[in-house]
Amino acid sequence: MKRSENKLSKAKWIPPLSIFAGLCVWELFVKFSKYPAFILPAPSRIAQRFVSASKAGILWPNVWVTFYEVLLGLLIGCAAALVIGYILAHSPVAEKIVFPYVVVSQAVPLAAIAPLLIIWFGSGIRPKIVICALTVFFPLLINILVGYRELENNLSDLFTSMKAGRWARLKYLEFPGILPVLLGGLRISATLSVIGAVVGELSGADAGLGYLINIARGQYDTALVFVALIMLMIIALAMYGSVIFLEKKMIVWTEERD
Amino acid sequence: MENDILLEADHIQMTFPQKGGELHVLDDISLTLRKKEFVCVIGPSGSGKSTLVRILGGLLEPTGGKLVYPDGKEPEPRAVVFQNSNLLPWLHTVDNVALPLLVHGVPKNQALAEAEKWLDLFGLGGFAGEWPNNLSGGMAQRVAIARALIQKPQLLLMDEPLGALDAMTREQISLELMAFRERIDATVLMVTHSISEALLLSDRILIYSGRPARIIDEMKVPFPRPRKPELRDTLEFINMSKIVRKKIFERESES
Ligand SMILES: Nc1ncnc2c1ncn2[C@@H]1O[C@H](COP(=O)(O)OP(=O)(O)O)[C@@H](O)[C@H]1O
Ligand SMILES: [Mg+2]
Repeated sequence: MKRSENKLSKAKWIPPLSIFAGLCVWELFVKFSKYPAFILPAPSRIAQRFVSASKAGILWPNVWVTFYEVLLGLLIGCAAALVIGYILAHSPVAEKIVFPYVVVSQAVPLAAIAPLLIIWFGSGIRPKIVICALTVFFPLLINILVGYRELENNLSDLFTSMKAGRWARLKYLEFPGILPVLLGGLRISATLSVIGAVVGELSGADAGLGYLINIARGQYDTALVFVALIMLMIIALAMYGSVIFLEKKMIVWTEERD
Repeated sequence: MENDILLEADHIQMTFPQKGGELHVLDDISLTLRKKEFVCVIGPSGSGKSTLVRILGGLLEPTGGKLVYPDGKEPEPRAVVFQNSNLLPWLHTVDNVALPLLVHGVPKNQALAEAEKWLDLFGLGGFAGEWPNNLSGGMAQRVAIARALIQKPQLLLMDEPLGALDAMTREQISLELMAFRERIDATVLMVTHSISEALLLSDRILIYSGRPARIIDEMKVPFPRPRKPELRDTLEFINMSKIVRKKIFERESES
């Protein structure tokens, strides 16, 4: 009994099958319930809309805009968090000054500041990049600071006793030491930043998947809304997958035995 | 005039701030380390032996007293072997040993070649590419000792380097250390709980009181060098152990 359960839990074909079954149920439900397509389109209809939107050239340009915003926002937010995290971790005074802002920032709903950013930066892609960067920046900064705090004092003593310079410390101790926490944070922020971009686009934009959703909604083109949603999911999953890939490549050492 | 004193600790005191008061750890520690001497410190746990090692290693500023260097300059390099092996889990064994060289910009291939030599000396040649978390406690501690020795330290501080190991491994490594002792000319201060380890390895034993700590007694170890493992079976060695043990426990029952 137990053994067969274990075998099943290892089977790779179950998750895709589950998705496929879900799609079938959805298709049949739409077929028999007779809801109009603008309320709930069937998967087959969404697939058709995907093809027609691709051909009409209204899908991929918008996908790229959102992807570009997310990627650039992620890179900027990540770089800023690394630099500022390094400074704060090495200066207790600076940390004391900045930390209240970090705490407050956690309580700010991003959707609410998106309109503000659009007032400040216009309706182009810039405010969206800023939102993405902010979505990534604060959680990542917190993770970096936690990572630094968890670095063992003993290891720091070792570097002091060797009279190691700043650069050697960063290269051999701090960077690899915080890497697991850093990538753990990035995994979550990467998907969050997609939400950030869409929130920005929904509050005012002339391109991107959020913009496409707004347009499609206005025309009761619900199938196109679903197409945009699926593209957003794919972007988020791609980001998530890239971080997992980085984790596999970079964290190669054996963790604690027990 | 050649001065044979490397370092003097002059009335060192250490007090840590603590919730609702202070923790007075080192009361008054004065000691002298001569060049190329091997000194062992024995004392009850929690009495501030690690604290003393950190002060001597320049990792902690004492709250009272000072370190004096009769030569006018600090002993360089000063290597520390910590109570736990303190290996970096993200570096292979060989890179861990090479770390002190890498940190100071020695070219990578040269540093690694040197590190492999040290691993071979400790019989760990086959583990160069292993992750530290896959090593046994004894191996990890050997790697930590190799990492200290590769620095060719003038002052080597060891904080209960064998404390966490089982008796067999402990004995084996202490014999290895004895063999190294004849080859390196560092000044060594080692904290230990084992009287026979101290007698086998050291020239002098300092006996520490409970907290707040003072050095309550000091003994010369009369055995000539080079020493052999068989030394431990001689009557003189056994008598010496008795004397040291008596000194430790007399003091404890007094206080
Ligand atoms: N940085 C520190 N801050 C506060 N208390 C400390 C610190 N380091 C050590 N202590 C305390 O000092 C005492 C002596 O510690 P330690 O030097 O590790 O003793 P030993 O090595 O002899 O067992 C312990 O009670 C320990 O809790
Ligand atoms: Mg200790």
